[in-house]
Amino acid sequence: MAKKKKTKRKKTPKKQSKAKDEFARFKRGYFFYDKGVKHWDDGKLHKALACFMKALKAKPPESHKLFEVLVELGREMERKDVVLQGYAGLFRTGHLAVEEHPPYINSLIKEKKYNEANKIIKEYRRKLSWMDLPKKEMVKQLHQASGVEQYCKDQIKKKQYLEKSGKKKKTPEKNIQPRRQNKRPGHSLNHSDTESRQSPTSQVGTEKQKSGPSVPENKKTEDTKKPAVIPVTITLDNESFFSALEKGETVRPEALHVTIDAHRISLRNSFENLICPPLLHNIESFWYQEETVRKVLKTFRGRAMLADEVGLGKTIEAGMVLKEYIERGMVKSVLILTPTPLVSQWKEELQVKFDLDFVSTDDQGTKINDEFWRSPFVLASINQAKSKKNFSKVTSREYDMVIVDEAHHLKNRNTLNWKLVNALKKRFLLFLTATPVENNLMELYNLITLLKPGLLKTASEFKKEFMTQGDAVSPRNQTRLRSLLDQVMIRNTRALAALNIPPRFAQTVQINPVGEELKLYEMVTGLACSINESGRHANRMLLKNLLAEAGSSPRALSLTLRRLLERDDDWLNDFRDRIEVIRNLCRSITGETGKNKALGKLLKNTRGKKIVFVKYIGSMDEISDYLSWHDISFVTFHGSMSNRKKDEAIESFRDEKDILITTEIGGEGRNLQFCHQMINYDLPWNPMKIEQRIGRIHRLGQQNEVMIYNFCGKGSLEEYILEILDKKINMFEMVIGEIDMILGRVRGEKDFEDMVYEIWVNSDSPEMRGKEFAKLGTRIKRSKTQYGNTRELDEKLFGDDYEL
Amino acid sequence: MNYDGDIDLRFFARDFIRTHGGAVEDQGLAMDAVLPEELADELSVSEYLNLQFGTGGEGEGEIHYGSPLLEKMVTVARDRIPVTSCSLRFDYLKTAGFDRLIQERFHFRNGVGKVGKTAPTLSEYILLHCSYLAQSDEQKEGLLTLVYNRDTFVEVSTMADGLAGVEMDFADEATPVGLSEKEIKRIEKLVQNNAKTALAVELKDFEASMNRRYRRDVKNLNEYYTALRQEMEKNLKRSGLSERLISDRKEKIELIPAELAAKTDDLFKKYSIRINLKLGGAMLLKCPVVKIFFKVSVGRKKKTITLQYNPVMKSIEPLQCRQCSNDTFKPFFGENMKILCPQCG
Repeated sequence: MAKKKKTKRKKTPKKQSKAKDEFARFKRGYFFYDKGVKHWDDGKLHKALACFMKALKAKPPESHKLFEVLVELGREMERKDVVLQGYAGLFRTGHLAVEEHPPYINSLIKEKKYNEANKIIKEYRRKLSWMDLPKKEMVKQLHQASGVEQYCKDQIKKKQYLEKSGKKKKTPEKNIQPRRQNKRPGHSLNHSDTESRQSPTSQVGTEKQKSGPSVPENKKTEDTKKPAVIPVTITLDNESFFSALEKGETVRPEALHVTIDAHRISLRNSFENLICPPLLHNIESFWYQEETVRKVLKTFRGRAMLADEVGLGKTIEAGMVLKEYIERGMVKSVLILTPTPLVSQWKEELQVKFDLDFVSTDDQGTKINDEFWRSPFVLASINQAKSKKNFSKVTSREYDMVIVDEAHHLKNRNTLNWKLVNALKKRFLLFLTATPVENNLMELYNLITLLKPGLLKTASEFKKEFMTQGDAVSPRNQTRLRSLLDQVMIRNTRALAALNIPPRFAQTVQINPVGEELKLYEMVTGLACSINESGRHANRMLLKNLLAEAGSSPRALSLTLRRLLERDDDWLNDFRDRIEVIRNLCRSITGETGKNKALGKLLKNTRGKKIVFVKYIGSMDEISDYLSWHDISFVTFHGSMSNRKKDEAIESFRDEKDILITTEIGGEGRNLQFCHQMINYDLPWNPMKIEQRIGRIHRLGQQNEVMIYNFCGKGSLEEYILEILDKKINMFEMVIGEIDMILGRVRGEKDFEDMVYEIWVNSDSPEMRGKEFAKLGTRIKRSKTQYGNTRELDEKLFGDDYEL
Repeated sequence: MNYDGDIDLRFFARDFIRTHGGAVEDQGLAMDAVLPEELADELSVSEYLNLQFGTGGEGEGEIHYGSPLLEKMVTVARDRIPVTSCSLRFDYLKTAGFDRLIQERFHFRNGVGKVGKTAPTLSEYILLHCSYLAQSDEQKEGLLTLVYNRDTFVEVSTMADGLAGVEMDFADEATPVGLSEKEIKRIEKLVQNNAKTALAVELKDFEASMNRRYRRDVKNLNEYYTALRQEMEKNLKRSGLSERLISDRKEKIELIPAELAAKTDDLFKKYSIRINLKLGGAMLLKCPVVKIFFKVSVGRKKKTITLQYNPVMKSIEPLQCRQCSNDTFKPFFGENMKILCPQCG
């Protein structure tokens, strides 16, 4: 006989009694819950808490409501443990709202419960993806969550390490009384929606009580209670809505268009909307440049000092301000004053980028006479403008706008430079300088007094109020000084501009001359020296060119020599034979030159795309022949190509070929940042030209470190140049624009090209040459040190106080 | 970046004068205009004007950015808040393929659905041009365009971009606009909620700049008061100070935190951004749409919801959360199949 299944019988009564028990428990739970609510309403928080805890033990259904109550009550009682218990319960039962995750995580971190915190963060990140947040906000929140997660992991590791090593430190948090609010927030996440729901007015952006991940400090610091982020409130003009939508009458569509256009014109009038950006060429203006322009126009009303750190594009900013004023009809006459060596550079930039034609003191064949100074747009070297001959002509007329580049040359009020600018009649005035103060705060005073006379009162009052006795560069009353300078100065920093470009490195490839190459170079040097000695200074440009071509390639030199021989000039008769000999020698040196061999070796031993820069078409042809002969594929790029051919060349370089051979214009306005290696097959003597070449690939958008290979022949002029620029002052690893700051202190009226040329042709022997170049190198190195000191001083003085 | 396409001042001047009851005749580079007396008084010019554009002259008819006449015209034009009304016309309205559009646009978090019937109908919209002025340590202004469906109150501001190529039949002028107070209040509430997202992009740099300055000034202030306190405490140790003087100075030291807090509060108020939104103009639109009856299933529960295809946007409009009224493309179906946004769900 089968045994009776006793278990079944036992189950039924157990189930029933279980059900009965459960019912009783729920009833008990509800009873205590109601009681707790009553106590809470009466303000008896402790009794309320006791009741809720009893209710919890009963585990009623919908216990998530109890947990919500615990969170709220815990906050009111300032009991972190109660709040945490509430959150834990809500999380466990799956009722923790997404926006409640951050405060829960923060509470856990404060209690050093990093493991639990990590668990919650993971869940939070998962839920974030469900939310209908704007993409940027989503990314930001996720990023912050990752940061906090990482912090928790680090703390866990630290704790494990401390436990292992047996060291246990008392952290300051343990000394804090449990119920006191910690003033210094630790790691935290945003409470965007919680805050915005509670506030009476709508708010833009995220309103945070606590800032994002940051390492907690051990020292107690006085903390402001204000949030780290300022609030944004929006109010509506109700009257405008009601008057139009309730009481208004419809109009023709043209009337609506006119009104909206009027709004847009008003925005342009107020300089809110700029007119010039679409009119610029080959300029990728950055947000901080446009904001700077806006600020100069709106706030500074056209009188300002643009003191951005080097390499941020002050010239572009000044050009945009000028263009804006011109397009609005507010400026019809302009005077730009710059150091002599920079005149042509300015002229080219104004023409190419801004479509502005200026007469300049560098124009070939232009007489600097009364008519010149009466032109509407004048670009002049400050040295010429301040000369006795020109001073009164320049200062007798009125200008709508004056721009002074390298304005730190106006730092001394006793100089003609200062007196010239002071005497000019102008409405708008812009100063450009990366180093407003070099040695003494009075330099700043002198500059600002030109911009806004009286702003800093008299010199003695300025000294009394702002200068420290015995220390010419540390100001007193910094806050007051700052508030005054804020009215005329903008100084954007590289940090603000966030120009995250990888660094650049250079390598000199010294090339031993092959065969007759050394003889050729020496013959050209001899010829240049002879012509120079004969007093034919008008041929200076020609001689510089010949020497540069000799340093580039025999073919480039040969072409020029042929053209020279075709000329009828009398003075050439003394040198024709020598020129003929040199030309013949050029023609005999082909193909396997030292440079070409070095190029072939470099291309063979390194990978990746490379741009080969040359100055001369002749050199381009020589390289092309060499590479073709060795079956190395390449593409060429030069100014004479049509736009379509240029586009095809760049496309071919990007998609197929690894070598681009280009002249100086190479890639101007084109995106070449996919390449990060360049070869200077020949070296421009002007460091700014070298910078321009490098700038084709070392710019925003470049992802890799840039490698620059500089070719130079042993014993050549270029070798000496590299010795100074690379070895002595590390130019290739500098920030863009710094070399100009350094050379600016040295060059005076002559530019670097002229200086090196004169040393070369005027030296009697290689030893003398070496000494003169060494002297120049020392001067430049000293200038670099001085520039470094000035830069540090200005960073200390101004910091980021004058950023946008 | 704030720059828009070229505004032809010639067209603006011509349209301005015509819409204000004047007459204009093109004379090549210049224009002859006859203004009504009232308008001439408002602009402080004579009734007959020869308008010159960008010649750099200073006559009363000179018009260029910053010229007195242009500024006055702009002021007069901005004083009104014009409202137009029109019906949009389409040669063709989409009749099929909504499943794919819905799939691309929507993500139903806890349900599945399919398209049932569709029906072309007319829907009313309101396009609002609002000018905003954001004030903090500096000022920033601009124009904001928002579009709402007047039936569902969802925001469809991308509709504004598509209107350029659509044919419109405008209603007669001088018809009362006559929106109810309730509707206007609702629209205001929507504008207030949506403006924050729309302006976040425009004001991002402005906000970042004010925040930077605020943090910088607070930091400088803290450093100053810390240094001041240290200096004062150091001076207390000097010999020869009377008890009274010591006690006075101690009192002053104790006041430093309060002073710092007050100054920090000042900075907070200084840099806080206050944005005022004002209605600049509006357009009431009647647009043919397609109502899509979409059957949703969540477990055993079923419900038919209505989606709307907008031919201007060539897309489906969002749904509105029944709890917080936010628009959503990721609806969650709560109790009784109530449509909720991800936050509320």
